[in-house]
Amino acid sequence: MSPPSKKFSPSKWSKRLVPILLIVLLFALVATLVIVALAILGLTPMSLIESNLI
Amino acid sequence: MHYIPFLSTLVTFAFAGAVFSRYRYKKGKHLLFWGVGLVLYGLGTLSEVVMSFTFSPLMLRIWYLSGAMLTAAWLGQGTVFLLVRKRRVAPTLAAILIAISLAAFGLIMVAPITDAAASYQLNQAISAQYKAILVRNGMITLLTILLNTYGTITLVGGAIYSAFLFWRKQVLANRMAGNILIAAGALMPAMAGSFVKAGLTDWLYLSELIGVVLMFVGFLQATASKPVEKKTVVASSTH
Repeated sequence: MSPPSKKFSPSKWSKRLVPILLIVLLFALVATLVIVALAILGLTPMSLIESNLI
Repeated sequence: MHYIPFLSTLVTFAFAGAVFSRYRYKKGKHLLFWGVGLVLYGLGTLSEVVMSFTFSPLMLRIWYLSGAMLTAAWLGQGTVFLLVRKRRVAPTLAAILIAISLAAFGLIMVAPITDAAASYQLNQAISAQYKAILVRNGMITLLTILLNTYGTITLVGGAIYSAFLFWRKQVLANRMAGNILIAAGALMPAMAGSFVKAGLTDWLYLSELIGVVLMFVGFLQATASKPVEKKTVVASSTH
């Protein structure tokens, strides 16, 4: 007797939702790293407000 | 304000207990590093609880060392052990991480505390006050950035990559969902940490709680014992 398969068939909504979620997470990861980089360069929201850039 | 880090501490130590319990019979190094990372996470939130009652230079140092410097990197190192198959890569990175962690410990323990400690406000978040109290030299700042960048990329990136693999192969739906939750959960304090660096300090405590809850649910989902959703009948007589 063969063991049960670990495969699953995604439902219609999860077929679209999962890639969207993964892309959103990837963007959030990149955004986090960009914020860190900007903070290192001294470009924080407070410094931009103080220099009248925003 | 006090009860959020308190809840985070409870959830984090329960999570660490679950990970160490799994490590006891599975023995994967990834579980060991995740467990240590979660203990560091819990020490960070526990020091927030203590610091909401009284100021303590030692607690401030523990908070910065564990929460701001080491947690993400140790959790991420666990993911490196899980995903990187090349011999010696993960152990070498782990050795570097341990050496850097010890150096960070030494640097933080001797970092001077300023007179601003006298005006520490118990009702305000540590994240809003530590910059004026704890003197961080260039090396501490550099290590903080390196450790957090390494930890965030490996932990969040690793979880996204794993979820993508499970989705592409359409296997182990529970692990796919678990990894999505882990990635989302790990991003919460990472984003809040970035906001703190950018001067926005309010979001840290809540993000720590949401983050650890999401990661814990993700871990339980990914390690659930019944992953099978669809049984496919294999015609064994034809093979």
